[in-house]
Amino acid sequence: MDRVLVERARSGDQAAFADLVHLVSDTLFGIARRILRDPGLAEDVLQNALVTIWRKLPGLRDADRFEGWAFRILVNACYAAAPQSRRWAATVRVLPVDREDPADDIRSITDRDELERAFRALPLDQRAVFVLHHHVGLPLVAVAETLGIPDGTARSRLHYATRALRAAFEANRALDLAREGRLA
Amino acid sequence: MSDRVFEHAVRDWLEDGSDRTPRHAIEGVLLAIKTTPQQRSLRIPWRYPTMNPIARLAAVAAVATVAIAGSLYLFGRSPGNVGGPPTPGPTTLPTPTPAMAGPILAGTYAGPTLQVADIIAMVNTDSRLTAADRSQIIDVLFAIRGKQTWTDSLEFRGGLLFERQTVDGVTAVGSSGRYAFPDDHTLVYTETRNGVDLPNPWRLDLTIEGNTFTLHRSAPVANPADDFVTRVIFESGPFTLR
Repeated sequence: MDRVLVERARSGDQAAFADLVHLVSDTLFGIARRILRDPGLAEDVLQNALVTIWRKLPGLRDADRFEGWAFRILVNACYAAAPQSRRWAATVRVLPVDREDPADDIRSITDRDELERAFRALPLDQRAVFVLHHHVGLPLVAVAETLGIPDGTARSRLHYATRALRAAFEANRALDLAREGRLA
Repeated sequence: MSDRVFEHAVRDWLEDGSDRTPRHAIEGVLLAIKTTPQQRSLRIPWRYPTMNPIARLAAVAAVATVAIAGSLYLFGRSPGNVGGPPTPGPTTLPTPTPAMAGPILAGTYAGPTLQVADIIAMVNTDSRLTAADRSQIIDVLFAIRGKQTWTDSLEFRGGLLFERQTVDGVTAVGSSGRYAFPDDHTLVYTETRNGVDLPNPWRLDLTIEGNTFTLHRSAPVANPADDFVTRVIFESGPFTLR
């Protein structure tokens, strides 16, 4: 991240902040979209987070820590949007897919559907750890620091999230194999 | 079930979809911050509520050193030093050399302000564009529907190029990346997104006149919509140093 740009924005330079937004918005949008599983809601959350970042920027002591600090504000904005998303997610149903076709692309689609369904059922704090670790590529220690939680908590959230996804994935694969066996 | 199969499936699912932030979302934020004050902390930053004994000793020692040095300066001068050391004669400060970006000065260069109605007329009369292209250019790429004026600017700073578009006074970055000048007549612009270089850098013919320059794309662009947009962005000059 451009330290000079962060410092200029911190001192109230709106043009510098506009450049900063350009540099980080896609990354932040990608994180919000993955945690919330709703591009429209992610867009709202991103906007709220960016305005919060602008307001609180003078309080950021070390410009080199801008990215992690921005991630935390974004994740908190995702949590704040949780009541709406939880209600929304509960109404989501995976569309039925014709599972009699054993082709790999169909299997891939059903895999994604099952992963999606299992992920939506996870609490947001587990989703956040999973996305920061697997999508952003942060080590667990950095995830914990970013979210302001103990290392062990980050590790257990990742464990539960992975276990739920793996269970859904394996159940789907087992179902596919059983269907293929019946067809053979 | 192997870990690799599971990890592969998770990666495919997780990385699906586009992370490109909608332009209108960025514009909304940039409008909002114009009227949103930043929170300024009134307390003194980095002031520790308690000092450890070593820090306290170090602080006392530093204060004592300054006090002793000051006393010696004020009271320890010999009579011959009355008036202090001779004042140095006037010197000429070196004039700061303006930073260069290749053959031009580093800084922001603004293009002329165009009327949105003129751009839309150009879009509508370009026979190569489909209806979908026209909508994409007006509503997404330039986001100018219902607006009045459009201006493009290029900032060259420390090897980075920021291309910004100002629509009705609201400025947002259109693209950014690295620039290079292989010679005095060529600008090569490699756009980056999420820290990754995009393929096929723009190669632009450069004509400099004082603090002004014009650009022309060295080669045509195959996609009609991209061709139109980059023609307006790069060839709407001259770009003049602000």
